[in-house]
Amino acid sequence: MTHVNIGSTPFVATLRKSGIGLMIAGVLGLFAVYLTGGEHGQQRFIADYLVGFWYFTGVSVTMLFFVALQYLTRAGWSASVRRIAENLSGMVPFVAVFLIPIVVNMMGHHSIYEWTHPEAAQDKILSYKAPYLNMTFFLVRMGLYCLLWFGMLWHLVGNSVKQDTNETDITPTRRNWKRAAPWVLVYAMTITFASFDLMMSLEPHWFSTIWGIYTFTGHFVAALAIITLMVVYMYKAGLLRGYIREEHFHDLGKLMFAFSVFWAYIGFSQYFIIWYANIPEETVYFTQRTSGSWGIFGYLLMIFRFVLPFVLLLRQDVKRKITLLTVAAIVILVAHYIDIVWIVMPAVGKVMQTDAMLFGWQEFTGMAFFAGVFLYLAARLNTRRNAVAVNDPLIRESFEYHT
Amino acid sequence: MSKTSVGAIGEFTDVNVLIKAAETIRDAGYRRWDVLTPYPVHGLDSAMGIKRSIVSYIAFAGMLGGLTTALGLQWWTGAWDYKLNIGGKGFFNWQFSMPIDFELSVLGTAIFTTLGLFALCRLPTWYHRFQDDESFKKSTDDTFVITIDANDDRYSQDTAQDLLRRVGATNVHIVQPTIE
Repeated sequence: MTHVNIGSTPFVATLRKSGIGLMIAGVLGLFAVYLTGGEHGQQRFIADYLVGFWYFTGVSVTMLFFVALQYLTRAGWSASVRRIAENLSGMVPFVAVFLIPIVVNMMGHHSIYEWTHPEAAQDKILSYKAPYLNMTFFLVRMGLYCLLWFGMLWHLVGNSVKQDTNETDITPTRRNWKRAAPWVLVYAMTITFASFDLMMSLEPHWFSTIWGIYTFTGHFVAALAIITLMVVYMYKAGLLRGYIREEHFHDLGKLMFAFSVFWAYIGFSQYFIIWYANIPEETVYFTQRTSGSWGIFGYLLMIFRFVLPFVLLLRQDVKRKITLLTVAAIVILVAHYIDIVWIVMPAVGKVMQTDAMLFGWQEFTGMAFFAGVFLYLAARLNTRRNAVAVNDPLIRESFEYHT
Repeated sequence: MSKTSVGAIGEFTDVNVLIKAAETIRDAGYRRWDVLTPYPVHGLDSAMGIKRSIVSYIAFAGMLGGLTTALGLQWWTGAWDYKLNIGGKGFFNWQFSMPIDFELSVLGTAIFTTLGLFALCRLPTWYHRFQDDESFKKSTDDTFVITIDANDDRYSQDTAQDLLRRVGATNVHIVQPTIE
């Protein structure tokens, strides 16, 4: 068997270097957005920051869900790739820190959230929603999410790492089998309400009860795509040979396929009910996003998030071919980006009272910064811990497994 | 009334020996033979040289059939044959057709997959010529069994039995038909 600690390999060094590079580029880019944006500089800056923040926070937290799911189902196939997901959750302890700019913006005069404006008190709908959408309760909720997510990281992943030092006693894994179920429930609640607070409240007059699942599927399929890319690149770099096999590509491909279809199902359910009822207070969200220049994004979203992954991953043999699997994973990651931009930017445009389509080089800066943070922290965790849960009781089943 | 034999049969108890045996028989060029196991053995299909099933293409055809039916019926009834204005929506919109398209695609796929699978597995098979043999019966309990059909081109009672013994089978014997 190959080395299980890959901290000193060129692969991790590349991760670290590209992470730092992207972070620097992102910070410079974000400042440029602030400075070149004129009177709306801060709003544009925060909107771009939010896009990146939500993308990578969501994916990092969803990595924890992936881990919990493997423990919950006692999955044998995933035992040798589970640690890769665990090592991608490095952003979770820092979510509170990264929230600070967003909260500062909400408290100032240039808030991108309409419900934080002083005029919201005169708005009938928003004043009814005020018991939920107010600054104090918002901060309490954010604090709670950060704590719970950190708790999930420490309680599940921390325990999984403990198993590495003990070859015969599987108590840590046994504990995780019991802990997984309540944490999945916590994840479901927190990701739902966090998506209400950070994303849906950008359009405070509008609501969608399926929003939580919509968000979850998006993050889950993106998290699977990132795990797939990571597994593929590690495999290509000659790392973890013997632990990772074609069978794992196949399974990750199946999951990506399934959840792309699931996303389409949920996304369409949300759209369809609003389209059929045709009530102005509900259609406002989709009229802005399916007509004019944002309409193009709507179509791109359908193609990138459903049609392409579906067609690419439908055949069985494709899921075992590294190149096509990589293409599908990248398509999914681009689609997740299109999705979040499509949610955030039209709403911010409304707050900025501009008809211009807010999409340009600016929208890549926040993404670059958080991608950098994500990659850097992944490199850091891979230096600190093994890249495979070597003593997991199911690890043998994982690398000897056949579909 | 000539009595031709049904084929040769041999028992195995070790799964690794079984897979090796399957590979040897596959490489010897036999086509009408089978392995019977009490539980699914991973990797046996490739050891036997079984090609990938065409059931996925049958399923795809079912999907296309269901989708075409759904689109065609909705368009023909709603927008061509008997135009009906419902709630101010168009006579045909992709939005409202989608649930039907989805459901009928799933239905078509499901029916074709099930029927295709039954046809490819030759189900239902009420009687199998090997079925009264004691070794054959054991394959549902605690023994792996390899059978070589008498109508295989390479079959002769001696060579088939020799081959089975050579690859590690025990209790190798020829099965005689029990009914005419």
